[in-house]
Amino acid sequence: MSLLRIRGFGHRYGARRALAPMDLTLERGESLAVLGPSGCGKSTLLQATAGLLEIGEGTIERGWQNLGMVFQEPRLLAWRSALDNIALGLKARGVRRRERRAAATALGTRLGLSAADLALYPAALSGGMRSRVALARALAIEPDLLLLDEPFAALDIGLRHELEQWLLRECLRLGCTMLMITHSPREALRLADRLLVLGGQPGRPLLALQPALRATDRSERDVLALETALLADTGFRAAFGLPPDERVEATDRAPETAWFQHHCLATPAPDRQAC
Amino acid sequence: MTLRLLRAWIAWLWSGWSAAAGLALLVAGWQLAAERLGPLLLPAPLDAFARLYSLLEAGVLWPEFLVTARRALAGFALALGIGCAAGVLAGISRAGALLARPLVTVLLGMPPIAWLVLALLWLGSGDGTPVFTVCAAALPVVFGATLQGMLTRDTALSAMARAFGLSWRPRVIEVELPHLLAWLFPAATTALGTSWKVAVMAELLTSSDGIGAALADARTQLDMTTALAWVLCVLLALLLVEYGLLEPVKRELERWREVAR
Repeated sequence: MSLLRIRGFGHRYGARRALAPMDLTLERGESLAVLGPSGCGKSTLLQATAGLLEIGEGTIERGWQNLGMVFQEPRLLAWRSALDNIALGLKARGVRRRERRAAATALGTRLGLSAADLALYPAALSGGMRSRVALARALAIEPDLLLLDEPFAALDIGLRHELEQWLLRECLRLGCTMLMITHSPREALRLADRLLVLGGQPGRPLLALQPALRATDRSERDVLALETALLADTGFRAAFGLPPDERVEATDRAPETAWFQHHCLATPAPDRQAC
Repeated sequence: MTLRLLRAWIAWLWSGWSAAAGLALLVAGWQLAAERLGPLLLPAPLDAFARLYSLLEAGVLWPEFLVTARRALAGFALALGIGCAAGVLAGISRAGALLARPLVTVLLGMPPIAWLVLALLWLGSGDGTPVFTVCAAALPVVFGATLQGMLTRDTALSAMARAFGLSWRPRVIEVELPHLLAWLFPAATTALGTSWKVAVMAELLTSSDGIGAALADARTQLDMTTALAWVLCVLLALLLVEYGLLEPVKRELERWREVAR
């Protein structure tokens, strides 16, 4: 059975349709990045998957036991220490205090947080440290499905790269499946095996992309080459409302690793020629 | 937790020198005014303290103090219970909040003396009148704070807790309650002070026992020293509860806030 199977799921906020009915399947161990412009229904899709949204249309089959989630903002409990925040999910699962604190300390240490940092309240932590705590909280429960909602959007490129690499390693170690949403093609290409581009109003899947190499096998050079190729793709540009760029001839410049399978699913608007 | 509270309490007492200096200044000002006005209008602080001590020695102070404390605390506890429950209920539904808002304004604006007159007519001159008046005066403060706490709940945090699988009980304990307490605690401190003041006022006008009634007796006998001794008794009790108990507990409960500042 697939870990996640979405069939005909669509959503309306009042009279406004945010997401047209769509299908999505995620197999165990896979990582998928959903990209798209603001307001295309990415967050709606993620919230519905997490069970935070009432599903009115379609079905979502949940094959996972343990769900971890990293939000765009860290969403830490201000009245709990960093350590207790990391251990929150374990507490919900009935893990004893001593065991969950030991697990949270071990994970926090692996993420570069010292014992002194772990004893601090979130208000005393830097933005980067808060993001680490939020990431550690999601991984502490050893999730089989990890949902990421633009988790590193507010971080500088150095820290972002460090946390992305750490996340990739941890996910590989735990064998967890990942569904992330992001605005950033580079982030998607660093973390995800395949990409799904949403777009249009209401949002719907426009492109499905599968690079030749899995995320864990891509070098930074591969990522940059793939990003260049992606940004030159007419369908991708149309999804984000970018005008066609004649200056970029990606297929001439990109190395072989930049090759990806490309499936056009729809056009962003009837009058646009996307693919 | 208990040990940490005790340590916080001792640290708080030690840091109380500045408060003590402020109080000493107040007493000095009182002494100065007493020397100018004479003992008939304003007895000196030492005389008032001496009278307080003699009241204590004569065994008069404790019984009256306990009667007032019983009424003030009963009214306060009622206000806390009803105010919290009603505030939470009103905060759960949007319609409830809309209906409750003007109610809080009206209740906050209603002078306790008006409640006292009504209570006297309804409940007579027993414990009921001061307890009711205290409750009526403290209730809107507690209710308003609870409602405000409910309305400003962080839905993003609740969603996070749900995503991580916290069932409703730990969700309330971990997410909702600390936020609500941050609103409720300052309001409860204010309400407790109000409770003492209103209890004494209600007794002064309606009862034959308690500190308020003793104050009324001192007034009829034009005994300013005894009147001031009773006032001192109320103030000392308030200071003790506020600085000796509530403030250290509040500091401990809201340590995370101190960091943010």
